[in-house]
Amino acid sequence: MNSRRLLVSLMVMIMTTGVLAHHGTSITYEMDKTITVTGTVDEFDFSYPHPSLFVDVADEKGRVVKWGVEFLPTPAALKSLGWNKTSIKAGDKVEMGCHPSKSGKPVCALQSLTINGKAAQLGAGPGGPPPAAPPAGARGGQRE
Amino acid sequence: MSRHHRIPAGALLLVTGSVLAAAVTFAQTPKPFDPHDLSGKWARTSFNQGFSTVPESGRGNAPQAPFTAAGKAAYDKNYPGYGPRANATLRNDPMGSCDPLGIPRNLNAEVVSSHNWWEIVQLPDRMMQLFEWHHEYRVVYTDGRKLPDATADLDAKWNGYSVGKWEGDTFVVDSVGFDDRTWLDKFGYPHTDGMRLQERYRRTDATTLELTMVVTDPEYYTRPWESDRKVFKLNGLQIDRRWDEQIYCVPSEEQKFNRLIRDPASGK
Repeated sequence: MNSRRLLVSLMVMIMTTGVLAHHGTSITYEMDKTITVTGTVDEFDFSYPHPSLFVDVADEKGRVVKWGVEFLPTPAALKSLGWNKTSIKAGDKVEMGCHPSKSGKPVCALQSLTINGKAAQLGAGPGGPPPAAPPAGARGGQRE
Repeated sequence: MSRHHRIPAGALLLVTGSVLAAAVTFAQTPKPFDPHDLSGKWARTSFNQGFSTVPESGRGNAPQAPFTAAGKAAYDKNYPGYGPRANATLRNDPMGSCDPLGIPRNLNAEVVSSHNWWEIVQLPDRMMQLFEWHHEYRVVYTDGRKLPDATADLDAKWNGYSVGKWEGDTFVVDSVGFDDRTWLDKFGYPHTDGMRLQERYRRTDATTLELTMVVTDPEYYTRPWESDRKVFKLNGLQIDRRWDEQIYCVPSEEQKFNRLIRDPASGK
């Protein structure tokens, strides 16, 4: 790997870490674990800081539990992949790979998603695309 | 009838060499810039998101903050969502409820991704600083007025009361009158309403702005505490996805997110 590619890779890694740390995400979810959650969408909230999805999930006894799902990419990052506020609609069937909450409550951080059987693009990073490249002329290796 | 003129190889080499040398010189010639013009849209490229490169920033090994006992006690009551002191259940970062971030936290630039830009607008009698997060602005008076007496009963402001002047090519901003509810940075460093802040801005080339800051707050810090060097790159007024993103911290959205997602996830 040449030095330029290495620098870009390092920046993506560092910046992705920053995104994951937003609002303390990394201390809230078990980021090293992934569970599968399947249900019917009740609401899709395409807003900052992170879009949220609320899904009705039936347990083994048929009781419906409402799950809250946090997207890690921002709306802008998702827009660049073609998303908008109607990309998920109430009634859609979703299957999600999710990082479970540390509290054990029915809340998780989205890692992968299919909507009505079709895989949705969340980007290259863990749960989302790496942020945009730094502005032209930025010296990535510039440190304090 | 055409005639072929022979060009001596030496002359050809000389001309080619001269053209190449001129091209290299042109490429290496720095863009002209006015060091007293700080206006433009800037994006932070230095990595540290904290006020200083203290150990919890993960960006250096500067000594721990020079706390007084009162300063350390105030620090211990601030529970950030970031760094080694991050506390999922007790977190009380003002950012988490869309409260104003204030100065200097706005200048540390909160996050690395898309909302770290800010803009400087220079007017004849003041400088405006516009921050994307919260769509907040700050005024630095440059009309020669004096800073208010910091010991007077100032009306505290989120961004303080600021005056600026040029010292050579360095723009020096002195501020007092801060609201003590803000943190210096995301790691929870506190300040009192008696804090004095000095910012020193320097445009080092056409596209680079550097900033260092010093907090003087004897009630919480035993000596003036200096930030690391923040580096920002000029982006002009380029519009693309990264720069066209409109980011407000909307209290109702933040409250809903906290109530339905973040609080239950953290067991708060």
